[in-house]
Amino acid sequence: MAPESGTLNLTGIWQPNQSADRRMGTVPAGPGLVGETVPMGAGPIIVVATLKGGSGKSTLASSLAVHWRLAGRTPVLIDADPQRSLVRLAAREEALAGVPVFENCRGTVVATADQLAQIHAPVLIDTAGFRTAATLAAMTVADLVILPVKPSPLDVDVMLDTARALLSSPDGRSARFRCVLTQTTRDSVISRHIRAELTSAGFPLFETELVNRVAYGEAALFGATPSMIDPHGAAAREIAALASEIDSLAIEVEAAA
Amino acid sequence: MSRKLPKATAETLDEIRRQVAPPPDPLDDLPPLQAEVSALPAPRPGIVAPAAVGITATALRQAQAGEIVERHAAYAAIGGLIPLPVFDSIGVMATIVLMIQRLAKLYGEPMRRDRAKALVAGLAGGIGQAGAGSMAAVALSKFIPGANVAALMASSAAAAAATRVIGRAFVLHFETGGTALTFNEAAIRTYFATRSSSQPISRQ
Repeated sequence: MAPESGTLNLTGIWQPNQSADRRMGTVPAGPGLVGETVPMGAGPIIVVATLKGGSGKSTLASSLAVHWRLAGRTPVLIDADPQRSLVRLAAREEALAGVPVFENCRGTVVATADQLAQIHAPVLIDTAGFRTAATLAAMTVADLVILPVKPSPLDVDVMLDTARALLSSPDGRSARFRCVLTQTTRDSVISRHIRAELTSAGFPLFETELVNRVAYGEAALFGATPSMIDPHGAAAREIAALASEIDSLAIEVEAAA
Repeated sequence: MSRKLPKATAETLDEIRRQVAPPPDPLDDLPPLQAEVSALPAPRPGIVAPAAVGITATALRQAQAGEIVERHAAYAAIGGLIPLPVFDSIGVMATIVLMIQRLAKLYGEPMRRDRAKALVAGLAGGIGQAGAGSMAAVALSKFIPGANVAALMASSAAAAAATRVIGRAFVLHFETGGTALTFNEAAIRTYFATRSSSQPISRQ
């Protein structure tokens, strides 16, 4: 089904209908893609994945993309979730600050990501909350896989499944991943306990955690993120802190290489 | 809340890594192959050295040569059963030529068919008057009712024996460093005259 506001081209990649001035990101014009061409250089591919729904994948992906967009970078979002959360979000008033959103929830998401990475940095892929070919394929091309985990045993169990799927990939690139605690209750015992458990079990974990705040829901009503509607708020600061950690991680990787 | 919370993770990252790691390759436990291979005698050019299979390259090559000789001896025995005197000889000669070519190929000394034919003709020419007379007698006996069955059997056995001896002579030639161009027909004829086909090929 074609989205309400956008076009679905022959390769299944969806381009939301946004005004040119609002779509501040660049849009590739390669084979099967539509839009202007503003080459920006290859960018990293970041996949937000967990095999459990409701863990905050779409919120995390969109928040990071918008943060980087507002910081002057050229991120792009790929919605590989059949629920099309990002596509729906981008169709709202603020349209995620003009971050381009492409829809591809099939195994060809890999080709889409590689193509977009030539002119966008970074490429963020939001995946489905269950095992799909697109999710598994996306993890194989990811420079970094972020696993959002809510501080609950159910989320932790599914995170283990996700990590298993990730590490089972024959491609060594997929082994680079970090967990991030999402929707936590600030200073709660359960959050600290889950963090301590994951750390002691050897799972890499971002220091920053995204506390459960109403700012996310309110911003989503406008098709925005906390970084747009309250840039100095606590949620925006947490998003910025997480983005900084990711950036420093990438720097470390480049230095190691 | 001060009470101790139970474990949240059922597995550690290392445990998952071990679970998803591919099973160890049983070949990894074998000793290094290179040392074993390097201990083998160097094969002749064009001959593939046997990987570590517990036998030497020479033994493997001789076994292959022996198999070629015995197979063509069997073919020649069948050719000797042809009841027509001329055609049986043609069939046996063709078998011997083919055997020589295959032996030469085994030893990395490809031989043209005309060269192989010439060698066989040279050998056949050296069997002498007595040999020629025996062959003629056997051939003619194929036309004699009653004796033809015995003649066919004799012809078949003789063809197999001749093929086997010629084949072993060529194996000896190649094993001693001979090539397709250094074939000594006189030496082979001497070998042909002094060895019986029952003698096995010398094993190194």
